Amino acid sequence: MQSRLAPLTLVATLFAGPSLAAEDHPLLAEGQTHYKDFCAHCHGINMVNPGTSSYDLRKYPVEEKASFVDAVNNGKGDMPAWGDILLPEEIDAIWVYVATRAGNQPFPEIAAAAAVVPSVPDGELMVPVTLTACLDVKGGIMSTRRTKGGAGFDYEVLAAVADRLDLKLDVTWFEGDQDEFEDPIPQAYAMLSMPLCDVVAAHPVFPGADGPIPTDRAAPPRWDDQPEHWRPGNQVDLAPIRRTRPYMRAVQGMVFSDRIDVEDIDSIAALAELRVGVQQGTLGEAILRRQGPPAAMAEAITVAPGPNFLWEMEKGAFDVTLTDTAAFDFHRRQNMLSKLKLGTYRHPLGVNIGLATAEKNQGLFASIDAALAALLAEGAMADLAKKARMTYTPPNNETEPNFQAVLRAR
Amino acid sequence: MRLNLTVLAVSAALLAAPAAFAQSQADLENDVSTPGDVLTYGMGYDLTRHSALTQINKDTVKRLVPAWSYSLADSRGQETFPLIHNGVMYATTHNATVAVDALTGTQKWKTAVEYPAETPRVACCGIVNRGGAIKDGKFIRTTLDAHIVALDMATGAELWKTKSIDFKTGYSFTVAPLIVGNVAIVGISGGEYGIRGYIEAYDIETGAQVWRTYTIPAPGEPGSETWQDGGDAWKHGGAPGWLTGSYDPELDLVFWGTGNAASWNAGVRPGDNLYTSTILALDPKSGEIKWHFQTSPNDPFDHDSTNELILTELNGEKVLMQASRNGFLYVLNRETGELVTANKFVDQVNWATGVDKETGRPLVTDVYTKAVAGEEVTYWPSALGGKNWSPSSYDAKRQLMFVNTLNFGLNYKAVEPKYRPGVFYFGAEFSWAWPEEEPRGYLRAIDPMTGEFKWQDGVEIPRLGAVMSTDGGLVFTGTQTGEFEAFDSDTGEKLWEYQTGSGIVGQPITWEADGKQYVTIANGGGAVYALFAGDERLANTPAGGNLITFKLLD
Repeated sequence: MQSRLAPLTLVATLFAGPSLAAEDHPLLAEGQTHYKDFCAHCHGINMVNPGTSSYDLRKYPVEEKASFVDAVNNGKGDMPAWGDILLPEEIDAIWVYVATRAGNQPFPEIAAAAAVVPSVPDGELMVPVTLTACLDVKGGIMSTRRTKGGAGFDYEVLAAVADRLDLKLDVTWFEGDQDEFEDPIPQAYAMLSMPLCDVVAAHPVFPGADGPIPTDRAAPPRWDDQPEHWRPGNQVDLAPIRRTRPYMRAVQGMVFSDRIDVEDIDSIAALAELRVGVQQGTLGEAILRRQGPPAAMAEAITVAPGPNFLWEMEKGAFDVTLTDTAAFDFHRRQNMLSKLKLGTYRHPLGVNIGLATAEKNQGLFASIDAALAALLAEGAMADLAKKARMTYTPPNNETEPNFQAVLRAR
Repeated sequence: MRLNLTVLAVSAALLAAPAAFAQSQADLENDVSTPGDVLTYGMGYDLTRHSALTQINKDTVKRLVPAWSYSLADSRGQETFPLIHNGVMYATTHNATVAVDALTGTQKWKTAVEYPAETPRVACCGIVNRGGAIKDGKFIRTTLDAHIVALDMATGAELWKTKSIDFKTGYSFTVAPLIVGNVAIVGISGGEYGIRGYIEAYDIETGAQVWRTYTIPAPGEPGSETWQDGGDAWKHGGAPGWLTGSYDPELDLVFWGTGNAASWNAGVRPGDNLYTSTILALDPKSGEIKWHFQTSPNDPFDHDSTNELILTELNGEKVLMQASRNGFLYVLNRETGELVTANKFVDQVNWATGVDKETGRPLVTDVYTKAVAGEEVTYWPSALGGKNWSPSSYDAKRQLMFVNTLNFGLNYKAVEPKYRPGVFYFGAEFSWAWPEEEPRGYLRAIDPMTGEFKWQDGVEIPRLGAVMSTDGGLVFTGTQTGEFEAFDSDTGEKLWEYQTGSGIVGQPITWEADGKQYVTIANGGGAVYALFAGDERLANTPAGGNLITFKLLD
C-alpha cells in the first residue's frame, strides 16, 4: 500500500545520486559505478558506513592517492586485493569518487596531484638499475632501432618511464609481424615469461590480452641476441601478465590526396563519388566495406597490405582512404615530399594501448603504471609524440573495443 | 578360569574413547530431547530453536549472569551456531574453528581456516560462517572459498577437505552443513554474483561428493521451460542455498530454501525462473526434488526464500513454516508441498496484496509490474526482506513464532545487467527507504496461521540475530548495539538484558550440565546490515567477537 507521496518524490532525488554538475570531475560518474560494484558491500552505499568492521572511506586522507591505489591493488588489513580485477584507470575513477566524498565535495586539488611514483623493488628487474623493454624493430612510427638506442613513440615513452624510475633503458629488439599467423598476444606472454624483458610496449586493451595465460606454451618472436641454439618456433611456458593503464589510442583517420578539392572530410558518407582505396585485411578496410557508400565501395581500389599502400596513393591510384594514423605518420616520415594529408576525422573504433609486465612483478607493475599516470597527468604524452613525429590520440575510458556496436551503427 | 584384569581395563578404555564421540543418527534425531548437548544447527532437525529447559525462567532470569567469555579474536560479524557435545563447545568464525570447555570457556583447540586473500571479494553480505555439523567424531564445516572441511573433534586435526567449486567466479560458503545419515548437505552462496545455485551432499567419511542438485535446471530439464528469455539467463540465474535446511526423519525428506534470481532485473529473464526463491523437498540420499513451492516467481526484489523452514504440527497436519523475505509467512503441508496458509507478517507489503490460496502465487500489485518493466518504484519489504537470515524460534505450546522482523523498503530501478565474473551482478540501482517515525525492526510473537502478532518489541536499529525460546516462558535474542535480551514469551515484556560489548548477530543456544541450565551466545557486530545500511548510529558499537555463556547466580 502506497500511502504517502513524500517518499515518492524523494525517490527521484535518491536515484539521481550525488549531484553530477557540469563542473564535477569527468571521472566521478564512472567512479560511482565502480564503487557500487566493487566497494559498496563493505564501505557502505554512498560511502556511509559506521566504520566499525570496515574502514570509513570518508576519512581517507585526500593527499594519499598513492597509498589508496596501493591498498586497492594489493589489499590492506582485512581488505582483499583487487589488482587482478580492477584496471588502473578504474581505480583512478574510484579515487575521484572517494576524494570527492561520494561526489559531495569538489575534487580537491591535492588529490589530483600525480601519485608518487614508487621505486621498483629489488629483484624484480632482469638487470639491476635497468629497465629492459621489448620493442618491435619494425614498429614503424612506434619503434625503430637506431645505431645507438632507438626512435619512435613507444621508445620515447619507455625512455620517459625509465627516467621517472631512475633506471637506464635497455631494449630487446624483436621482429614482430613476420607473417599473418603470428599472434602478438601469446608472443608478449612468451617474451615476459622467459623473460626477454621487464616490459612489452604497445599492448592492446583487449579481452584476453592480459591476465591468466591464454595457452600453456607459446613461441616468442625472433629477437636480437637470440642464441645460436635457439630454433624459431621453440616454445616456452607462459605465466600470467598484467597490463598498465593505456597511454595512447590507436585510431583510424581519413587520408586524402592533393588531387581532390576538399579541405577536409568529416564523415565516411562524404566519400561518395570519390576514388576510395582500401588496404586488404586491415581494420580500415573492414570499416569502409561495412560503412562506406556502396557505390563508391563497388569501385574501390584494393591494394595488398604493406607500406606500398600509401605509396600507391601517392602515385595517384586513389584519392582517399581510411587507415591507421600511425601508418600515415610513418609514411610521411619516410617520404618527406609526400603530398598526402591526414584529415581531422577519426573513426570511433579504436584500441587503447598500454604496457605489459609479468603479473608476478607486482612492484614493477605499480612503478611503471604510476610513472605512466604521472606522464599522462602532466600532459607529457603529446610532447613525446611530437618528438617521434606521431599524431597522438589520448586513450579514452573504454575497457574493451566494442567492435560490434561501432560497426553496426552506420 | 582366571581373568586378565589389566587387559580388560585397557580394552574398556579403548572402547570408551571412540564412544565419547559416537553421536549416531539417532542422537541427531533426538537432539531436542537431550538438553545436555546441542548436536544440530537450530536445536533440532525441526529448526524450532525451542528448549524444554525451565530452570532459567520468568522468575529466575533476573539472576542470569555471565559464567565465562571466550575471545574469537576476530572483528568480522559472528553468526555462528555453537554445538555442544560431551562437555565441549564447538564454534566457527570465517577463519577458524574452535573447541572450548563448555563449563569453563577454556580453549581445547583452535584450527585456522586458510583461504586466499581475495576470497572476501565474493562475499556479498559479510565475512561470516554460520556453524558446523557433527557426527561420528567429526566436525564438518564450510569455508568462504567454497570448500568443505572435516576436523577430528578430539584434536581439531583436518581429516579431509574437498573443493566444491572455484570461488573466483562468485561462489562461496557461509552455511552450516546438515548431516543426514552419512552425508553432509550444504548449499552454495553467491546470489548477487550471477552464479548457478546448487545444493549438494558429501560423504562424511571420505569427503567425496555424493550428489549435487542444481537449483536452476539446464535447458531440457524439468523446470527449464520457466526460463523463457531464450538465451543464457539460466547460467547466471542465482538461486543459491545459503541457509541450512530442516529434516523430517519420518518422511526422510530434507527441506531447503533457495535464494533470489540473478540479476535482480526480472524483465530480462521472463518466466517463473524455477527454482529461484523456492522451498524444495529433497531426498537426502539422491538430492532428487520431491516437490517444490515457489514463493516469488520471476522475482525482481532479491526476495530469497532461504529463510529457515521450521517443522511442526498444526491442527494435526505435518507442516513447515517460513517467514519469508517477501513479507509473507507460509505454512505448507510438508508431505505434499501444498499451501495451508500464507499471511503477511510485517506491516508494509506493497508488491503483493496476498497469496492465492489455490495456486500459492502472490497476488502482485503495480509495484511489482512497474519494477519488472524497469520503472522506478519503492517496494516494501526491502531487499533485506520482512525478515532477513536471522532464524526464528517456534514455541509449539503457545503456537507462537518469535521473529526478528524488518520494517523498511527499497527505492529501486532495474537497469541492464552486466555480467563480469566475480563481480556484483545486481542489474538494479537502489537506495534505502527508511520508515519515517517507526522503528526499523520488531521482535514479534506471531501466530503462524494468521500472521498476526500477539506482542512486539520495536527497535531503532533492527535485530539481525537469531531468536531462541524456552519452556521457561522466555524468548532470547540480541541487538546490534550489543544487548543480549530475554523477553516474556506471553507478554513481550523485557525481563533481562546484558550489554555484551559488541553487536549481536549470532545464534543463542541453551543447554544443561550437572543440573544447571546455561545460555550461550556469540557476539561480534558486522555482516549485512552493518555493512550495507550505512547506519552511523552503530559507530560506537565496537567490533570483536566472543562466545559468552550465562548461568544463574547461585
